[in-house]
Amino acid sequence: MDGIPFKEGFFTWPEAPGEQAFLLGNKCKSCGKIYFPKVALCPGCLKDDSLEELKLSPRGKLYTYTVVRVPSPGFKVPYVFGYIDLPEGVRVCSQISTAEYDQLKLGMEMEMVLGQVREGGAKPIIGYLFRPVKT
Amino acid sequence: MREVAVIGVGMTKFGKYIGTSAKDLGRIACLAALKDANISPQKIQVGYCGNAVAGVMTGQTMVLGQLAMKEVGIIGIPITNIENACSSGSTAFREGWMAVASGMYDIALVLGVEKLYASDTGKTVQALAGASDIEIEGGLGLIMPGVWAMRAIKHMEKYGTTIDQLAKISVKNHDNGCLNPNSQYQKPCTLEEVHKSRMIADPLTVLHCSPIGDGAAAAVLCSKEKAYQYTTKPIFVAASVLTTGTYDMLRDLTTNELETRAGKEAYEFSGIGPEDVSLAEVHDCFTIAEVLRCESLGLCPKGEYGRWVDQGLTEIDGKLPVNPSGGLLAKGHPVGATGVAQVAEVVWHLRGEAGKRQVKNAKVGLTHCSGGAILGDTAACTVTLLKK
Repeated sequence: MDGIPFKEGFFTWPEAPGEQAFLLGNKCKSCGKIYFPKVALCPGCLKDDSLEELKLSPRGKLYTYTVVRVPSPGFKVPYVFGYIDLPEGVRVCSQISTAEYDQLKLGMEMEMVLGQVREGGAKPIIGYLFRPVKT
Repeated sequence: MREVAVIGVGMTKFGKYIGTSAKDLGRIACLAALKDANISPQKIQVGYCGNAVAGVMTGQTMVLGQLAMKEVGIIGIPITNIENACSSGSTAFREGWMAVASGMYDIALVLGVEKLYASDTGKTVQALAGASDIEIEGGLGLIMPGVWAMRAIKHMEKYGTTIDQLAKISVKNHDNGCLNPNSQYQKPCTLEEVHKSRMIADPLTVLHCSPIGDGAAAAVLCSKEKAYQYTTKPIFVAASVLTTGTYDMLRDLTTNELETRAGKEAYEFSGIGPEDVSLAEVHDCFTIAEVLRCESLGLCPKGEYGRWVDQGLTEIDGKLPVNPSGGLLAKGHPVGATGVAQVAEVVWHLRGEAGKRQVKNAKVGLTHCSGGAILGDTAACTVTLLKK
C-alpha cells in the first residue's frame, strides 16, 4: 500500500496484498487489562515488563457514529466517523468506510481495513478504517 | 475550611473583539469586578487567571494574568496562570475559593479570559483541537461537534430523545440571550431555522453548536468575616469541585460519569441537593451537551431532559431554569472566560440583579464546566454551588 502510516505501532502493515491488518494493543500480564492505543506501562500496576503486544480482533460492533460535514485540514467531507467496540473490551474511534449512511445501524458488525485516513503531502496518510461486514 | 463569599463580579460582553487584546479584555473584566465589589486593587492578596489558547491565538504564551491584573493596579502579589481547556476559568475560580477558604488569604481576584476570533477559522479549530490527544483522535478526523453528534445519536437510540427536543434547547437559549446585554447573540431563532441551518455533524446543525467568540469575566472572593465591609449582598460559595475523567473505554456515552461524581461531591460537601437548585448554568457547548449535563448532574432523571424541554420546565419561569444567560449557545463561549462568566450570571440572579432574565426567588445556583476530550471521556469537570 502506497502511503505513510498514520502512526507507527498502531497496526500491522500487510506484507502481501489482501493480507488482514490488525490493530496493535497491549495486555498487562499482571492484571489482564488490555489497552489500545498501547501504553508504555500499565497505569494500574506500574510494573516493569508487564506488557505484551497483542493483535486485536479485526471485527467489532458499531457503538455510535456521525457524518462529518465540515472540512478540516487533510479531510474531505463528508466522511463518517464512529466508535467500534471490540470483543477485547476496547472501544476504537475510527472513520467508517461507507457511502451508504442510511444503511448504518448501531450494533451492526464491522470489520477493519487499512485505507487513507487523510491527505498527506506527497503521499496519503494510511490508517485503520472500519466498514460494515457484508452479509 | 471557612465560608467564602463572592463580593464582586464583572464581564465584557462576549463577541468579536478585533484590535482588543486578551490583556485589554482581562483589564475590562477585572475593573468591572473591582468596582462591583467596591474594593481597591491594593486589597487583593492573590490572583488566578484562567485561559486556554492565548498562546496559540495571540502569541501571548505566558504571564497573561500578571499583564491583565497589572493594568488595574494589582501588583506585588502571587498570581497563577491556569489552563484546563474549557474548565480553565472555573478551575481558576476554584483555586481562588480554596485560597480564601483555607485561611491563607482573605481576598482573591479570579479572571477568565479568551480570544478565539481569527481571520482564519482553521487557526481557532486547530487551537481547540489541542483539547484532545493530538496524536490520536484529531489525526483520524474526530472533531468536537462529531463527539457530541455521536452522543446525540446514542441518546436518541437509548431514550427516544428527538431532534426537535434538541433544537428547542437552541431556541430557548437564544431567547434567553435576547434578554442578556452581555450575550454574543441577542437574536431569536425558530425551530425551523435550527433544523435548516448548515449541517455540521449529523444530526447537529450549526445552531446546535456554540459559536467562536472573545471575552473575559472576573470575580472577587472574600472571607465571610470581611465580606460585609464591601457588600450587603454577599453570595456564598457552598461548594466548588474539580475532577478528571477515568477514561474507561466502554463507558455509556449517554451520560458523563465524571459529572455525576463531581455533582455528588458538591451536593455532599454543601448539604444542598439537586432539588434545591433554583437555576443552573451548564456547559451547553452543543444542545445535546445540555441534556447530558443536567441528567448527569442529577438535576433531571436520566432520559427525561428532552421531555422537560417539551414541557417548558427548563425555561426562565420553569421548574429548573437552565442557562438563563443564553448559555454557551447564545451568550457565547470564549472558553477560558466561560466558567467565571457562569459564576457572574448566578451571582446576579441570587442578588436579584439579572434584569429581564431574572429567575424569581432564586436562592441556590449551580454552575458546571467540562473541558477536554481524552479517549472519548472528559478531561476536566468543575461544579460550583452558590447560595444567598
